[in-house]
Amino acid sequence: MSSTLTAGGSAPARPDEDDGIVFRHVGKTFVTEDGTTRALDDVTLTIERGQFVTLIGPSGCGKSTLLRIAAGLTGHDEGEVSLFGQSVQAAQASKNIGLVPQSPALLPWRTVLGNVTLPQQFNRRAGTDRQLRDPVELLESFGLGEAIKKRPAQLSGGMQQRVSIARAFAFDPAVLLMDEPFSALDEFTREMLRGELLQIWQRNRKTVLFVTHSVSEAVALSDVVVVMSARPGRIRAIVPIDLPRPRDESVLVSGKFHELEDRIRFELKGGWNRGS
Amino acid sequence: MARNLLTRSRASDVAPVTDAVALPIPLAQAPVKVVEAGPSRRRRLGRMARGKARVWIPAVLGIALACVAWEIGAVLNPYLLPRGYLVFESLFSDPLFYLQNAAMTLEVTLVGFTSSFLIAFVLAVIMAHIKFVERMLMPLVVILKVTPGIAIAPALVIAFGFGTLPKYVVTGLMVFFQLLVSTLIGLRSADPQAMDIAKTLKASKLEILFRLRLPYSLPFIFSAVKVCLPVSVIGAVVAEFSTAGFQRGLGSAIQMAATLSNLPQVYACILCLAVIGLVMSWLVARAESRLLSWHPAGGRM
Repeated sequence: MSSTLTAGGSAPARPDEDDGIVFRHVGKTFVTEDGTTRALDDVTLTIERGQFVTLIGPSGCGKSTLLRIAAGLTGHDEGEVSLFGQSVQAAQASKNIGLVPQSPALLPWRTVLGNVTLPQQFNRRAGTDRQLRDPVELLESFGLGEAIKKRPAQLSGGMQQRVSIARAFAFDPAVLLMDEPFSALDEFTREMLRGELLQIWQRNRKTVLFVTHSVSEAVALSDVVVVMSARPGRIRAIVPIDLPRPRDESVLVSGKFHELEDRIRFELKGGWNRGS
Repeated sequence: MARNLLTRSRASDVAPVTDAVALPIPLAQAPVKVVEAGPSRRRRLGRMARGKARVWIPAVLGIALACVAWEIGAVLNPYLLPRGYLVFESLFSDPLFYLQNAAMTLEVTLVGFTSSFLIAFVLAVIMAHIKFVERMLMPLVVILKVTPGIAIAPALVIAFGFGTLPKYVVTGLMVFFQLLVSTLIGLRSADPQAMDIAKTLKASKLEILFRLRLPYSLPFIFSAVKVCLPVSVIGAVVAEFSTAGFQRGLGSAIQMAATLSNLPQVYACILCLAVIGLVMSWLVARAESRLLSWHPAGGRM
């Protein structure tokens, strides 16, 4: 699993390298009134089809910027980005990107069902070849069967975020980009939704790029954790999480789990400078 | 932390999996918002009636006190204020006169307001999409805003004659700025993260306009309409002042009656204007509570 990821300057040519999310030497500089900020510097990363990859790092390390570049919401100054061989623009046009933003961003005048079917009403010509699941059935599988006709304001924050995730699954995109989707929730709800996301993904293995601040969240969910450092935003370490799936209780309390957590915490604290 | 997660996910693991993608979450575990069982319907209605009484009684009391103060003032100063019964006498002695004038004023108000609204709306949509147009038009709009529309009225009468056109223009100008700016802010108020989702799906500008921007702008548009409709009545009356005698309209009637010192008629006209304002405000509030039931402030006056 680990061999599929490369960090730093070299990206070895692989026969299947178009079959995933590929960042090649991506750089991004923000120009503000106070000067320029190097948000991303020479980021090279390959995420294989069906992998769950988490970006973790301190504030300002560019992890959200990297996700927004993959979503086509922010442009990049240097390098190349492709999603399953498509450019970001083409991936957008063919509705291959499912975005789960930080806040649920549900439309308050629509019901839960109306919100989940919203993506089908955008850019209608694309993605019509897909065999989509019945949205009602999908919502039921997300534990939202009772809430189908409710308005978002009638739901708790956790339920709203669940609807937001269901909305991204509903139009069956190839890639899911999740930008700290649980960060606004309380600890209790957060861990519950984390467990649910694990189960959903277990049964429907999409390629996921997930951004988080939480080390245990990163280890619990991911196949690979990418640790980033700030100023400039660079990849500091790539940690393969070789824990078995499904990740049930025995896995998540195992010594191996804690070892991986410690390893990531170590990298976050500046393990990079160890030898230099 | 991890331990917590496990105890929770295990409970759901026990549930049978039928669908390949299905996620069996026992509903009891889900943070379903607890809906208060609440008292019986009748008791609830009773409570509502009592709640309404708490609102109505002070309001009626306030109006009654104002009427008493009016009567005292009218008795003490018969040349400045007419007695209430004289106002109603004037009103019912020639109802057709008042109806015709009110209809004229209402027409000026509605035509002026509606055309102003439509132009402001279209411009706001264009400005929301094309920054250049916004930068080009905003200074002009601000100049329009700081110029008192009332002052333009006589000049417009000279330009357009004594017909209804200058009245429409004055009425429209009075509310144009507020409608334009509120609509523009409203169109820009769409949830940026929802906009992000639309962008990652390559939604067209038109889809974003109708599915996101317009619904998000409705609360702003409604609050502007609530402020602007009464203002447009002012615009209509002022416009009628400057053409008094040539055209019908409550403003014109007030001007004429004032010159003849017919105080009851002046106040009867004012009463008609107040009723027009009230009915319009009520209709807008009704429409708002229908269309904006989702909005936290929706439906409140």
